[in-house]
Amino acid sequence: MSELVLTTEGETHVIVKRRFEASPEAVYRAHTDPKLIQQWCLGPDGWTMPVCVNENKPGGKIRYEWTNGEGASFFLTGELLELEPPHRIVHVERMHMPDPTPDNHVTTTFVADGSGTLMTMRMSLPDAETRKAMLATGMDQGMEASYQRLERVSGWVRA
Amino acid sequence: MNELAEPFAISQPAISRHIRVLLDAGLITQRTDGTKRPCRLAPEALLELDQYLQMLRRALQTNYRRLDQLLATQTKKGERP
Repeated sequence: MSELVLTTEGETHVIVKRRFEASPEAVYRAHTDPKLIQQWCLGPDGWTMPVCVNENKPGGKIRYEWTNGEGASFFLTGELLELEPPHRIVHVERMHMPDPTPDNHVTTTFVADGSGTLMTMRMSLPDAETRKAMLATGMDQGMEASYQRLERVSGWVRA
Repeated sequence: MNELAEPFAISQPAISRHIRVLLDAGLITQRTDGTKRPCRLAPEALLELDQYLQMLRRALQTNYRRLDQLLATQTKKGERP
């Protein structure tokens, strides 16, 4: 399975699972080597990451800066807390838009799965204010679909 | 509460606990109407959470498809550490 599985854990966390057809070493490196991070960690098409700092050591700093080339940009800073190559990364991060959002604690694990790797990422669910700010970055294109789905849900509950 | 519990094979106290969780999360509101305590969805909270999770899912899906390609290129080059 290479489909993304995204679930919530209680009211406070999001769990993301994804399988990759590569060794844990390769997937781990793609998460810690700035030259590699810059090539994939970009969000929607059209965005680039002109600045990518990942010091790749416990206590090391993270700084990612994104831009869509049309005037929109924001950045993320963080610190690496625990690194256990190639199986586990624990870090804390915050978005600056431009005010910093509350710290998001993230644990990412990489486990060999046949010829590939199963990645599991557990992170904090941002509070309502942060979610609004992130939606306001214009990275969302799914608003209409959400409205339609909500209408169906409301209809079902009333029925 | 009785009406809400009816379709489910769980006890009324269990339903009450589920309702409490939804209330605390701001996803529903509840008012008092005589002996009844009707519940309503709080669409704004649901919609906003739904939008956020959908945005996150899209961004991650796009990222990881890119990463699939990057990993495939590296494997071909024999660049595994």
